[in-house]
Amino acid sequence: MEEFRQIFFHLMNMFNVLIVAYFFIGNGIYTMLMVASLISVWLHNRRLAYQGLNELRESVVTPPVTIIMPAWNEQESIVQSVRSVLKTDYPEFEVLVVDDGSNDDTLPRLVAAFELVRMDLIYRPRLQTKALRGFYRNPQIPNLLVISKENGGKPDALNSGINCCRTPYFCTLDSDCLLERDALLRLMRPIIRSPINTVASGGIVRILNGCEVKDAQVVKVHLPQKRVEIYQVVEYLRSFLFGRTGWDLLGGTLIVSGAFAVFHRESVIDAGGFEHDTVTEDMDLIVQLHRWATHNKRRIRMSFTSDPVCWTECPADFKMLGRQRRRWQMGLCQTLWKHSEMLFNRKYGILGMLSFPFQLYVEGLLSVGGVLLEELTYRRYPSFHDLMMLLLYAITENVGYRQIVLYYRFQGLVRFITGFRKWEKVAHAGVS
Amino acid sequence: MRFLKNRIIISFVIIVALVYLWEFQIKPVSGPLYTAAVTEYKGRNYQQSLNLLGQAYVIDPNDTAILTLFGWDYLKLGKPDKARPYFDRALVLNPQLVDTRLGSAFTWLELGEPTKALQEFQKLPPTAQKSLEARVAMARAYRELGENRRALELAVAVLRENSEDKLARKELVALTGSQDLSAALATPTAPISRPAQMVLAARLQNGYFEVPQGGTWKRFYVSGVNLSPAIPGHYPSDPPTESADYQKWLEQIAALGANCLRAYTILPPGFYDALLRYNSQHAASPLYVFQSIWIKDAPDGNLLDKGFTADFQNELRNAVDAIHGQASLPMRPGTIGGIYTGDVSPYVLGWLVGRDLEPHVVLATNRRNSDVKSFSGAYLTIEGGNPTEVWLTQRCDALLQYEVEKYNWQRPVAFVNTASLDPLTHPTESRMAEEFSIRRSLGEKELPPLSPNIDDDDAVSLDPTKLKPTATFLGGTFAAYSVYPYYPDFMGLDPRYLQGRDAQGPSSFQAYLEDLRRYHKDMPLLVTEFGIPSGLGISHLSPQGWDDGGHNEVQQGNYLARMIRSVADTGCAGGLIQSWMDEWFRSNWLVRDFEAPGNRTRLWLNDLSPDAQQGLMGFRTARAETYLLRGDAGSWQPPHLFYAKPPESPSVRDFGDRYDPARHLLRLYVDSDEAYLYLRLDVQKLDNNGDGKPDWDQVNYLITLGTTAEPTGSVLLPFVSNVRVPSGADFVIRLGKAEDSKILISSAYNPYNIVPVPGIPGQTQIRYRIPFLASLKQDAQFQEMTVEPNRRRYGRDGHMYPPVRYSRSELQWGTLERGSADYNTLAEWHANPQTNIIELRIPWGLLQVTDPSSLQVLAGIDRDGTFSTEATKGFLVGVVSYRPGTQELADVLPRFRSPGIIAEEDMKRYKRAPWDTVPATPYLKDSYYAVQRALQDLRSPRRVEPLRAAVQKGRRSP
Repeated sequence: MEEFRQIFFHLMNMFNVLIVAYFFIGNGIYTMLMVASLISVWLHNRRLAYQGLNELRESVVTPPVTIIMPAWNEQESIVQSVRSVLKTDYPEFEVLVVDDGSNDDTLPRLVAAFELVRMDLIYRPRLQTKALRGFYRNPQIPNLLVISKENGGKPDALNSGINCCRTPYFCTLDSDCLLERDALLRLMRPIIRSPINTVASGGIVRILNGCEVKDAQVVKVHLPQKRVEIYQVVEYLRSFLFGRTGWDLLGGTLIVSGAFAVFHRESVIDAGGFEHDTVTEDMDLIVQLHRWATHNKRRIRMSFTSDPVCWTECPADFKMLGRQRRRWQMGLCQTLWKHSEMLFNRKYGILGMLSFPFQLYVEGLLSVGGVLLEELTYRRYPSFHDLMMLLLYAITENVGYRQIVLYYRFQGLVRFITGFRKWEKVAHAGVS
Repeated sequence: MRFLKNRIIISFVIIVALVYLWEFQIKPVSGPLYTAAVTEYKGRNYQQSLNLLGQAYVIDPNDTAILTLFGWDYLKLGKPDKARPYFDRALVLNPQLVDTRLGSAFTWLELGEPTKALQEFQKLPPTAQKSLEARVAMARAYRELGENRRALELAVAVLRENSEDKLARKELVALTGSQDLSAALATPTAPISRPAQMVLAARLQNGYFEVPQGGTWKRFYVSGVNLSPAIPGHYPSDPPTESADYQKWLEQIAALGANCLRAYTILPPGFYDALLRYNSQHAASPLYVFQSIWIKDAPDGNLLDKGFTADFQNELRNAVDAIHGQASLPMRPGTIGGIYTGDVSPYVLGWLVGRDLEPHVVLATNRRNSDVKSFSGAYLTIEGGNPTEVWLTQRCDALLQYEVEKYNWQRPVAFVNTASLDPLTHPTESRMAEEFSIRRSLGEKELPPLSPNIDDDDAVSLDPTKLKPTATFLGGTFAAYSVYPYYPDFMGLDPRYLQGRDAQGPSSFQAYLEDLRRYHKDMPLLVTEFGIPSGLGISHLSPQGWDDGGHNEVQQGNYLARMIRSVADTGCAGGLIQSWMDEWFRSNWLVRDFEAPGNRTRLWLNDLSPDAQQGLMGFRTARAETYLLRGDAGSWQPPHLFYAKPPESPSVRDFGDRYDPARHLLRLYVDSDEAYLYLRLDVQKLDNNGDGKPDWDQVNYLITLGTTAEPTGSVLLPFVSNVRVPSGADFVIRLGKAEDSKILISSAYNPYNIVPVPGIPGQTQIRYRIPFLASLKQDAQFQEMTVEPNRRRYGRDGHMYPPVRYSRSELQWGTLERGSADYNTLAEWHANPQTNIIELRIPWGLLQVTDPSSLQVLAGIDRDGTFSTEATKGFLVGVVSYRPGTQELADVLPRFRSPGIIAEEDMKRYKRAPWDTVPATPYLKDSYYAVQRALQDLRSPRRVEPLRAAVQKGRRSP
């Protein structure tokens, strides 16, 4: 009996040591990130002061970009989304909608709306994908192309898009996202200005819930109504402070939101494109790009712009939130596991020594924090009431919401370990 | 196997391995610390043990062994409240721990929760319950609950197994008053034998007590003492329990010539057993007793409070049962009890209900119950009384009823009264409210608000003549007063009393007793308390010299003898001297603020507190017999040598006259005890004129004392040119001619100052400096330590009586050697020209040491008037000799660092070890023998006539 007590106490002590170590390391890194974020934001603001977007917009050598929109059973919103995207403010771009074998009216509605004509085109299948069914386009709208293919999941759809892409850079865009008009310009600017090959460029995704939308543009920012939504706003703002801006400055960006990001096509193809073996293909691709560059001794760069680029709707109830978070957590774990070779590998520099362990031990195993979240924008919540509400929720977030999210993430971790890989689709209310 | 090469897997394995290493290899372990703590605990270094445990606790906060030892350490340090949570936590973690359970039980005992302690004991496994330690503790718990027989059985059983068990022996003595093991259980409580015929123990006749003797009644003039047995280190509520102690005192009291004593409250069984034993051995001249029943503080001062009255009623019954040997009372801290088997009821002359009540309590009781005016009981009635008088009558009546019903005994009864509550009118004694209005009308400003708890000495009265015994009460009632010659103020202000004289001179005591006698007409008048203290400090001055303090033991004896006469001459039924023994714990209004912490006053004797030295029996301090201030070199031991100069080293300055040897300092010794700091200064030669005396015109000495922890006081010394103590002197002692020999205080350390009375030109008053913080000043002057025992007062006619002050600074010359011409029990210094030794003994109180037993000295007075103290690092002592006329320096001890500078580095610090217990070494004061002679005179036949005359005189007066 006494022996069991002793063993139990020893186990408790060991667990205590782990918790304490986690607490110190985790919070230490968070603090560091916060400082880095503040510096980064300050630098960004200074740059903005003498850099407009106009010179980029009017330049004749601004590289063309293909916007790839995978769509699966999005009949409600797809037409609206495409119309919005087509209004993007960029000198030369093409919109490539990939219908991933939808079994609803997604394709017919597109065809009807844009008076598309089916035609067969030849393309070079540099990445292995499911078979394509056909191409649709309207000569009157030369920069819109719709591809229909057999269902193969989002990575497969994206790969199909890459195969059909003509431009050196492409941009992935989730069909439920609402784009800022000049988002593409903002994302391309760091690519163009950089002397090094910038293989990926991402920005901030913000929560659309509660905002006033007119003509596919956000015209007024409001706090959402539901508690669970407000909590997510807080979460987004916080992860902006602690998260990606800081990692970007340190050169350890491991995550770029695939909801809206620009990639260098050749590099992506060389790195093998989007893969199917994780449920968060965008994160996987970023890691894959890093590994590819390191293996082939390429100097690459990834950029994270702390400008708002697009708006997305967050889950409006706990059921959906749970699904989303479980998926993210599982994806994170899958990705980390898949690329475990990078852990404490000096070849990968900051990424291997700091970002990867951080993601693994702090985010992957235990912590809260937005894994695939986008961050705060400079367009603040304007009303004082909203601001106070945010502060209030930021405090109360710690009681309840955080534990719930942690629980979802724990479930995600368990699903990863038990090998549960099925997608969970997040239902969105229609946006218009 | 590829699986094992995965970096994530490897990293987890490494982390687990690291944590394992930390837990089992690297992590500091508490084991050795705990072992060391146990060693310290066994060596009784509990504080050290606690420090080690603190370190162990950080490592293993849930180790029950550590928690348990924590508890025991705190318990041994006398902090049961701190021990409590540790035992509780350990028991939550493991309820089976025997040692912890035992500690927890002890903690409950210490916290005054015997019921909870017993519950803990009963949770112990049977084998542990059988341990001697546990059984003794259970005995204590039962005793505190009043289950004395059970407690006794346990204690006796333990002592049968181990007769050396000190705690069990203590229980035995506490319960029975005796060390005797076999007698303890063999003395069962006798069955109550209620005689059919009522027995009268004593009665009152013609103004005197009478006791039965050989079938008739015989007059009994009461001469005795008050017994409140608070020996040093103890409170009266924690008296000696052993019968042998009381037996010894009773023999001494009888040898004094006393025939009676008053038990201040129900005393331990040992006292009654001793009394019974003494009286059975001296059947011809037994000692009688007045049994008092103490009134505790009533809630809001309302004696008529129901719960309070019920408690007091219970106390009365306990007293009746106790004197009949039929009581078994719980004995716990603050409450006296035990198993009472000795039946002393034939020797109890009377009941004294209550104590000297404060006037504000009487006022509060009267105010709250104004409708209570009369009472008619079985044995006593009262008409037109005030509520307090009625309440006291009711209590007396209930007491009588209980004794008659249960035992069928009667004896005289009185409630205790005092001069402050007498029914006389005192024109000089204006109430504070009256005085304030007079003072305001005279233009005085900034008068403080009137406190509701002010005790005016002529605001309300208790009149024993209102009590009327019924026909069935044969014992009778008498008047019982506490009367002191120096208090209340009317004793020294009222011209009628100032004109009073006894055979040897002015005596307001006599005049007041006459007045009192006159008022009470036929009613017997017993002076339940009278007395005068010995000791240095004075807390009240009388114009005729009957001061409260400032008398040596011989003077105390003379005054007591005169008072004994006065009591008899004025026709009183007798008197009881306050008190038999000194009570070190007792403080006094003038010194109370300077005694802190207040719960340690029992551990040391403050010679400035007169109330502590009212006894005929004193207690010697540790060195009182060693240093008799007679210049005996042999009494001082080498460890007390403080400074010594090599014999050949010269003085700082020689004047070339024949007095240089007197100015040449050789050695300084320092020592101390529970009351005094002792100094011995050796010089080369004191007698330079060959007349056997020092020539104080040619040499003086100055001793500097720095008492506080930080440098405070004055840097520049007085009387001598250009000598400085950079670390500051809080006090200087000047030794020279009688009028020059003084201890002076630096004005930077003097808590008092003399301020003008606002609005009354020319009048001053002595007040505390508030706020005041001891500081260091370069040339702050040295002042006399003057206090104001008698404040300025106003009579009811507006006549002002100026304040009376006295200086504590003057040093009393003398020696403690009995038989010497200079014999003076107040002696503070002495110089012996034969041995060239000067000796001093300075009371701690004079040095503003607030508690020598924990080395506390006064640090300052806060803004709200509270006194703050600090632990001294030791006293810095320096000595210089000089020529008084020219103030030229001659010599110094220890040395000058640079000319005229006595540096801190050169001085030693005198510090003694603190103490928590103190031995009681009783001795009989000189006053004992004076009282003995006085009582002898009183018994001689020629005294009878004046007694009668006084009674006649009392009857004649209007």
